[in-house]
Amino acid sequence: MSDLDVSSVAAAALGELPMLREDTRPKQPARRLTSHLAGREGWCLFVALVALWQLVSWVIPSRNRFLFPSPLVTIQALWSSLPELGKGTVSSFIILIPGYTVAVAAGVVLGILAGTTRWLERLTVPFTRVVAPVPPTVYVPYAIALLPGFRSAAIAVVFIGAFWPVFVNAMAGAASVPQRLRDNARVLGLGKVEYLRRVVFPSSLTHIFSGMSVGLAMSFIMLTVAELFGANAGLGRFVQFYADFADYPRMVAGILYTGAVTFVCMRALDRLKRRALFWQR
Amino acid sequence: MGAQPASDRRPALSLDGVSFGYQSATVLADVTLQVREGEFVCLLGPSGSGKSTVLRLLAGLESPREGSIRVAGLPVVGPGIDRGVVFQDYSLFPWMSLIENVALAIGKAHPALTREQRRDLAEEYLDLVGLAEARTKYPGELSGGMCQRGAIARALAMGAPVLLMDEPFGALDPVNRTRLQDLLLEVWNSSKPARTIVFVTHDVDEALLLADRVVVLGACPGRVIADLEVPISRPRPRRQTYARSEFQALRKLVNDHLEGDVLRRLSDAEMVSEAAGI
Repeated sequence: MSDLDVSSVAAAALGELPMLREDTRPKQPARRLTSHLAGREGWCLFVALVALWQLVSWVIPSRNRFLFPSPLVTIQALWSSLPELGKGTVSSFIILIPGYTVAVAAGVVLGILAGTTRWLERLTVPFTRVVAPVPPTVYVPYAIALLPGFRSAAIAVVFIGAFWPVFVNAMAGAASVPQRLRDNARVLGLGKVEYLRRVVFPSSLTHIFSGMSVGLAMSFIMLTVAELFGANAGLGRFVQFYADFADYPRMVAGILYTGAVTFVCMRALDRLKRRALFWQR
Repeated sequence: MGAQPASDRRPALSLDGVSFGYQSATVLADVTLQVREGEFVCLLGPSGSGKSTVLRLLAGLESPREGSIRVAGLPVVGPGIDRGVVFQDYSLFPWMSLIENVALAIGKAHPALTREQRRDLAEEYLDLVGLAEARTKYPGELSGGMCQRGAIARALAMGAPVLLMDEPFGALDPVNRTRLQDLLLEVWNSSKPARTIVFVTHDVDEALLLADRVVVLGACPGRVIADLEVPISRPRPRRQTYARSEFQALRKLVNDHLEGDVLRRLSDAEMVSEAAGI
């Protein structure tokens, strides 16, 4: 086996493959630029925006520089505050993870029940119409006043923010299980619980995941808003703290860092979605 | 339910004076029909003749407005695992692999079996329909013909004495359709006691090739317009069967019934428009 490998490597080295490659070369340069850019337009915009940012920071008069830090200054600030931001991330996630997880679990279970049970649907839909559109940020001050400690209040508002989108979407998904799948389940004689678990839940997953991503974005909003109000650590707190001290490079660094964390979480959710919905064409 | 007596005269399925409709629209009017145990009956009719509705009523997916429906002598109150159903398409759950789909049905029919036994049995049935290789594939990865094979495997795996098939090969290409017709007949021939099959189609040749009896339905409202035995011996190799005079005579008879129904509807429509002064 190793002999074969050696001979094929040798054949390649002796110029068979390079010759082939040279034959096709004339066509490639024209294609290369566009094919390299394809699928990366988003990054191009990102790079262009950073370049624009740099340009603007050069143009702005120097006495205003502290309000509008250049990318380089911001990156330096980001680098030096990484340990603090890391701790802030941990503190934020201690709020975010339980709030979001409980919201998703409750939203999926209750949404599926409400979407498949007539009387529950009639019971909850009017209530949902009134309560779900209320911007959940309005609950923040009261939650902080009502609940013992900042952490439990923040978890509660993250829960409220993430629950409604998940619940409403899970309910819509459960209510729109295609007739043919319902017929199949009935023909097989699936029991109620089995039907909900093995048919309604997977059939609603597309809806549930869109609810989950709206819910995740909402949880980040709720988290940072809550932290602006009363935290002593966390990502929102970081931004608020340095804004109070007019340390704008660090504040901007905090904003960028929070954006990056949100982005990573959304991407992770997207991955999870693609894995869970592998059976869709 | 219970032991099946050997007498083949006993009706496995019966509809007695059944009508069905939605609000003001009447889909079926006074349909009376009996299917004997082990019989292969094709329901044939144009679209709008309610042939799928008859099947859904037998499956227990709908309830009749009037009349009674009995399976093995007992009134139908809902779907049951004594009746396996194959729909035209999408009979399988897309998030389960073939073997999981079949094993799920087996689990409902034989709750006492262990997980491994269910999977083994599921594999046997998939093997029977020629899907042994594809057992871990998901419906989205399979062709329509393969999905229908899977659906048939699932219906067979439930061990139901009655199979209800709603245009199961309607969406398939001719080659796959031929193969699956042969497969179905093979399975029907080999099972003992023979399963009772009600098969809905709008294809006259398919009906005459498969069935012991063809029930022709007319449209608007759906009702039985002819009930014909198919006295052609089995096996029925396609080429020879199509050439036989009985086959051609039956085909003509069925087509005459279908055309007669169309003409009747047209003349009805004329009378209505004349009465309306158009």
